[in-house]
Amino acid sequence: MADQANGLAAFIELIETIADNKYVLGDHLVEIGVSGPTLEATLSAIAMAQGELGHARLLYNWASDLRGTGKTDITDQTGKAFASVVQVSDWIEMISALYAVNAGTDLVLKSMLEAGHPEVASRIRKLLAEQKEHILYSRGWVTLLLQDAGAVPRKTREALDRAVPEVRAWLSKLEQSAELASGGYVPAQAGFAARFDEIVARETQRAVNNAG
Amino acid sequence: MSMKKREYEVFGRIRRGDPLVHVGTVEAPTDELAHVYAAYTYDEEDWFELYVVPRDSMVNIIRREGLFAKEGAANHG
Repeated sequence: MADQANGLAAFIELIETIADNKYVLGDHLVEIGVSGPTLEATLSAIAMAQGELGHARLLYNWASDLRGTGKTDITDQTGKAFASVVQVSDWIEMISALYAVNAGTDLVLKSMLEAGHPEVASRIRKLLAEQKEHILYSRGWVTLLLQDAGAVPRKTREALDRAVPEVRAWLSKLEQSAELASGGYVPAQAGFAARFDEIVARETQRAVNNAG
Repeated sequence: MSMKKREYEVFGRIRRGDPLVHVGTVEAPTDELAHVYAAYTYDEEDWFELYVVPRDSMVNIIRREGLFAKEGAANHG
């Protein structure tokens, strides 16, 4: 019984962490996304903001249901958003944070589906499908920024160096959580951090190779 | 930004069996970003299918001469 409660508490913390990051990124996509380098990039950022905020609301409501507290007004994040996401102050940092968070979140959500816990699939299947375009967008822009001229590639690498390790540390903590695995929320030995390393290395290296 | 952009034509089908219609265009530096831009710019319908095609990949079969092609716009007014 205590194991079940611990598993549920860890799972609520996991979905609130994703919700908090999506909530803050949604705000950034409106406030900073509006100053995108092209009209299409800006329009997409604003549309994506609605998506991220919608995902955050869905996850917060899910957390409330799991706690049995019912739906509550969401006026701010719960304090679990990553510092590198909260501190975003320009387009390059926003794209880097969006890329790192979405790449990490995608791994976790797909593993949650694979774990086959009841109720999980119906809650996240649509979210995962919608998130695909967020990943394409942020990955596409990270690649362009890394291939750009002047100080842009350096600033992009610096922004990635802040966002990527924070997401990786979170993934590492999740894969070591006995509560999440024993509760059936994520598979045992999910290998999140290694898979994340592999994805980021492959995609950023591809950008560097194409630039050269 | 020093990126090169391509023009993409956007085609969509609203319901199964409907004709595939030209919806508009987007400019994007890559196919992936053209996909995203088209999905977000032309989201007014619940599309059955939506495609982006690089304009320079379209093979011309027939093309009528424009009404003022011989005189040219510069000779007017």
